[in-house]
Amino acid sequence: MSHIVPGRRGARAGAPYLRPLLPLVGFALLLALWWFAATFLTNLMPGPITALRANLDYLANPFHVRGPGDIGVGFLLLQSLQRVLIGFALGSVVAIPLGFLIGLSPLARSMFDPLVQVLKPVSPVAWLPVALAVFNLANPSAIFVIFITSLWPTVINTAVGVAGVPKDYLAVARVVEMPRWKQIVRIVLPAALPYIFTGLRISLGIAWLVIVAVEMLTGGQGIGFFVWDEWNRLNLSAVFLAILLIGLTGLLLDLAIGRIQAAFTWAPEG
Amino acid sequence: MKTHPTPPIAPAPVSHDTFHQLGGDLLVARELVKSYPVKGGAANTIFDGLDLTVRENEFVAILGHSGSGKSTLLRMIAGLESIDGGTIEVGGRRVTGPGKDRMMIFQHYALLPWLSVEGNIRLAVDEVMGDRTRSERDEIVREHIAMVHLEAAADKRPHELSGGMRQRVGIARALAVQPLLLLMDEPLGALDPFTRARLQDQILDLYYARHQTIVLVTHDVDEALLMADRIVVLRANGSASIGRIIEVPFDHPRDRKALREDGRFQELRNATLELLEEYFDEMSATDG
Repeated sequence: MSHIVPGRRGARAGAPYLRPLLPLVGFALLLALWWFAATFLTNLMPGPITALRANLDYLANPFHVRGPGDIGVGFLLLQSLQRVLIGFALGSVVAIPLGFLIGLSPLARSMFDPLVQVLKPVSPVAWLPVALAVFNLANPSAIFVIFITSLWPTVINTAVGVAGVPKDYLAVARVVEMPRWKQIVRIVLPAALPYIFTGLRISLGIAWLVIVAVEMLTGGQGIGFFVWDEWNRLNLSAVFLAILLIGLTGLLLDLAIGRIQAAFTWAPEG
Repeated sequence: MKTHPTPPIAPAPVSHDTFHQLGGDLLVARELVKSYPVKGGAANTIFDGLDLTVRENEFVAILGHSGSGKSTLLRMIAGLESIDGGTIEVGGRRVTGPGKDRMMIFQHYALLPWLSVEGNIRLAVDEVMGDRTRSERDEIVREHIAMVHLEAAADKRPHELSGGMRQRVGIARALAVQPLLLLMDEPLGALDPFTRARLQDQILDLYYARHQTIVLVTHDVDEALLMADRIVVLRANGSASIGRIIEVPFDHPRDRKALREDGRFQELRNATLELLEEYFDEMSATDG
């Protein structure tokens, strides 16, 4: 037994400087899988090297405009991002007060909680026909779907945070005779802020997932339609590029909201 | 159903020390009734006609085991629990809800984690003393941070402080708004014995310095005997009532070491413990 333990420890001691390389190993495995699929499973699919070569123009000119159907991926990403941010902002403006209402008032909770529970599991894309019928235009409809997407996680998390404010915090406010509206602003809001941000973060993440699907359906200009359009042209290289860009953008969005969260909320215990 | 008649409240002893002359009645609770609804429509009666009087500048401890209703009684005085019957008056004014004349010190401190030490105290001062100027309020906040010796930690937030330091913030916050009555709900229950002893001494010092009327809820017999003028022992047998009121005969200022060697202290301590045990057995028997 005794000779095994030092051996293990030695292996662990050797690991730290290899740690930073592990993500690269992960990506390398994925590339290998891609190469395998492209080589043996289908001839529609380019391998990694071919795809990179085919995408050089996109990468070199992300913001070119050569006509309505040929726009740089940078522009497309920005357009999608704009829709997401507008829909997300509108959704949050509705969701946060609604969450407060549900969290503060048992009456509002009885009224809205079943509604939220029924609508939450619906894929937001299902609202697209409804939006198209109302707005008759692709862009507002896409924004509307993102608006719906952004509602539920924020409503639910805000309500949980607001309802869960420790009774002692409110007792302090009541003992010093703080008016109710001030209790909401100075006690409930800061106490619930970490929950609200969790909701916002989930909402934004899902919104970025949903926009791709929505744009595939609505067409127009955006990274989602780009994916579908390039597939129709059998240009899978561009699809791979889009997947990578969508992923990186989503990551940046999450990092950004994480930064804002850290700046605006208090550090938790411990 | 009054199973135990509440014993009449004996007047507090005439004190011989100059530190604390008791004044008139500050807190008068009469015929208090409190019950909670339970499943099946019946009500669980906590108090059924409880009387309690606390005089100005008096230090009263409410002693009892868990479930004896002592925290409920304190929260009723604070206005944080509804009163189902009877009246509570503080300074001649009837209690109908929480008020700045009765500040509370909470067992788990109830500090707002996103505010600094200073911010927590300022919140209370700003709210209660809105009619004073900004610089006057600044001065009050500064004074009370100094009072509990937290100058160096004024900008720290609660999670950066030890339990004892946190409760000192709670004490400073409560005293900063100059309440008529200070209510303490097992304030030292979550602290280690050494920190607890030190804070007991600090609270006593503040009690002497400010002539503050205090009601302390505790289950610690030593704490009650060390600090209080009178100990109200709650007895929960069916509903809760005052089982006995113990006059604590030691002059202020009190010294914990001297008390420990005082034969009367030991006697009183044992008698009180026996009483508590008796009440506890009684309650356990009722509960089945």
